[in-house]
Amino acid sequence: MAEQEIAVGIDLGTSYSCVSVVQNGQPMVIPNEWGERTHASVVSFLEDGTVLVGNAAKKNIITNAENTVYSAKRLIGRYFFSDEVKKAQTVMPYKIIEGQNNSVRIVVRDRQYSLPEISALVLKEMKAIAESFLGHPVGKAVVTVPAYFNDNQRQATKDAGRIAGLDILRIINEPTAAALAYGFGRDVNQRIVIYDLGGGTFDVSILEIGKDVFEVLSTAGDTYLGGDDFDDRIMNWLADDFLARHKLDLRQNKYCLQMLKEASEQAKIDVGEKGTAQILCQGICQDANGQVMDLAQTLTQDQFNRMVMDLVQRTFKVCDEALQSARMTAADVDAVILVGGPTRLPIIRNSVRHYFQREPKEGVNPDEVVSMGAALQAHALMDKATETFLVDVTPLSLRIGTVGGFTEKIIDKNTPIPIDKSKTFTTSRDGQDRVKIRVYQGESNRADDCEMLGEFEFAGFKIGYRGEVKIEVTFEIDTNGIVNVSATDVESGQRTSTTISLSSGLSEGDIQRSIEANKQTQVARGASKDLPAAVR
Amino acid sequence: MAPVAPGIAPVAPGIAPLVPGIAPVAPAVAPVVAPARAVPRPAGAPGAPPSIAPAVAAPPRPPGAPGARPPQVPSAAAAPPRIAPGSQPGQPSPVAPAGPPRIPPGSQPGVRPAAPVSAPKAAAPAALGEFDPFASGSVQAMIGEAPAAGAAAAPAVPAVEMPAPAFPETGPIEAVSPQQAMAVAQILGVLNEVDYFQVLRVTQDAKPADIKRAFYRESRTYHPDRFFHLTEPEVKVDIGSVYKRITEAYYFLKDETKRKKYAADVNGPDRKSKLRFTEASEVETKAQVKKEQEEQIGTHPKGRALYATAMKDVDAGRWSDAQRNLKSALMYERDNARYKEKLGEVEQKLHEEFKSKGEQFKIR
Repeated sequence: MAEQEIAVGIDLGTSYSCVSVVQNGQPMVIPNEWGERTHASVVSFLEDGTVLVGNAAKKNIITNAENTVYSAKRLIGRYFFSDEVKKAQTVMPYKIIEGQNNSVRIVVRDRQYSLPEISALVLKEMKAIAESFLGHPVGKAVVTVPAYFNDNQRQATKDAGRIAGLDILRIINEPTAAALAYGFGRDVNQRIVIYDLGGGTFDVSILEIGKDVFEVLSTAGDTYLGGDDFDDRIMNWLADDFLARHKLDLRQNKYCLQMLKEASEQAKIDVGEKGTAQILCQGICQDANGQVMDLAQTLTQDQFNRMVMDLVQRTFKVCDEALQSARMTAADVDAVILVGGPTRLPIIRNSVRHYFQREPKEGVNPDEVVSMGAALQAHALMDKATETFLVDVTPLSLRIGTVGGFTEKIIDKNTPIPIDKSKTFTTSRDGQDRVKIRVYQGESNRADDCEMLGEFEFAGFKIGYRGEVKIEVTFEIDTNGIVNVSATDVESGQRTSTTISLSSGLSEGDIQRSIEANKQTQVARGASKDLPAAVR
Repeated sequence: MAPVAPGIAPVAPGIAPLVPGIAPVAPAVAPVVAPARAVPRPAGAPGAPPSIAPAVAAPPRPPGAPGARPPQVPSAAAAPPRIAPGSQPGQPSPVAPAGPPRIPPGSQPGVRPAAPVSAPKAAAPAALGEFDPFASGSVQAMIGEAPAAGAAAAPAVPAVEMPAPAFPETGPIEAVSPQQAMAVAQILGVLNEVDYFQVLRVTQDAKPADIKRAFYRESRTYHPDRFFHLTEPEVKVDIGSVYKRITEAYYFLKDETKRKKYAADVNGPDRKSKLRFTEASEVETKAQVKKEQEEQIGTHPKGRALYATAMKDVDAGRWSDAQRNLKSALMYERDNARYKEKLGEVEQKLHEEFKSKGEQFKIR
């Protein structure tokens, strides 16, 4: 093992993360020293300046709420003005502020963190788990993202990897990774659907898998839909009920809210497993007279199903879209694979069975399959004789902004990647020395409804009369699903310089600073003796 | 939203400028240079990348290069036209971009240099030389009416062939040998002159399944993951560029409508400018699909309703009613071919009926 460098696969999830490696040709999940195979994507900043990551940190969500960051993935790569951030500001106990260029920053213990820095701490923990298990340093990794992540979110995830000191070999899509793990070692020729309902995102990918080529036919998703939203429904039901009974709104207090959230998550799991859930939050709040109150409720399967039915139906709208893009019907599907914790819920399993008219595949661990796929991909990339090839697609159309707030499509969604496309632009004024292009991703021709990726400014071409200068701009989507833009002066063949002013991304300087800061940050060890704590 | 700053103006005549700000150049409509490549290369050197030719004969004002990508090698469009061996010496190519004055106006059919060249591939260009559609074409070219010239010469045959694969389809890649790197560079060199069918190494009438198979084969050969472990960045970038074109070819050819449109384009007069499926062609394809749908039923709701009634009449054998309804439908849509065709059928039927009725009264 010494001579060949090992690369791991990391599933960086909204709620839980998981790390895997390929050993002796087989993918396996790496447990931490406590035997835990999945690790909460929670970062808790302790008083002594160290941080706690993982399941131990999760307990701090209630006790140390202000200094414990969770569900960071919901915010990564988003603009401060996005709805998701607005929502997070109201429900999250930690402080979210606006940084430079509409970016999101989190303030913990008087220090500002960018989202990639938070995710980097989770990745650092995964790296540490792998290193202590394998007994030598791990420098390379494949990290997964939801298929429906846009360029900003992918870029931010990649930055997180760099900050954590990992060489990110590839960013791959979670459903694609799951398909890779499913198809590994099975010599089949099938069309499969990956139904991936995670903590914060939902993706559907349809793939055609063969012996060596894994072709994604289409993908669709919703980055605002996940298991968290199921919890929210239960939470609101509990809070409304409490409000009706005691005239106290638990949502007003962030500490109550955290207890409620934890209880709701547990209730969801219990309902899935046992059919009913007994909810008991002792001492959740005090009334006006200072009397401590408890919250006790029973949630039945039926009640729960009614609460979340519309969410479940939303997932099938996305399935419709994916099938339509692949020009298939549910009957053409050979296998359905469920990925993500919430797919354990009977309501999801039944609905999926009903929609596809077939039994979802058993024997796939919905929590671990993604990271195993990522490990397989990492292994394939390091291997000289690799024989599995992924052909993924871009989930969103790439567009450029035109005046009047409209956009024009450059690369269609579900186009196989890598791909590039060129467009020639010219100047509109005599002597103009720079042109600016705005790049968007999304399915609307209105710029407002699309996600802006950045503004590219080209200079350094020959200056001439208007219309005479021709600048060929090449838009490329690489194998990571990340957009690159370059420009050439058609006449001279000279590459023109590009300045990118990404609105929420980190600049190179920021990243370098973050790498340093990340190195300095000590991951807490044995913060409290009785908790499964992080390893360094 | 603030207007896109200093602004980018449209060059393209084809696409309606959305604003003074930005507009795309219709990629690659560069008639002035287009003919240059139309001269088939000598069959002897099919694989030679055009890059070798120095870009001497640069036309006065090079327009947007047809291939539309930062050329790694000088764009073929700028390469001097080559006169095929066997064409008459001293007879300049009639399609040379900058050569109008040198060509005698009386340039006869038969002396067209392109025609007698031993064809690199099927579709015999010799036949084209026989009757003379070129006389006017080449004269026009000389006057500078380039599109017509392109029209004359282009349909001949894909002049450039795809070089042999640079790598075996299977087996580990330990390192890329200089020969292989060369082969990749060669493929890259012709990439802007071959069509998608050549890129995927399929025939133009390939079925979707064949196209998929071909794409898988090319993926096994050129997928960047196969070369990921290599350290030479240049080769990796080159292979990446080749693979990007492969995915592009696959994306357009796997769609039957687009494949048909594309096949028609590359066999047509503007082959040179249609080698990459452009937005313009995409718009055309969409329009085509819409047109087909509309032709099936019609564009006007009343026209469609009348047509539907007429069809019922036809089924019931009420020919004169059908005729009346179809005529009314045509009032709404004068150019609907389907209505016209149906009306023709119905009138034919009416005529036959009239004749057979007439026969009944005939005195034998």
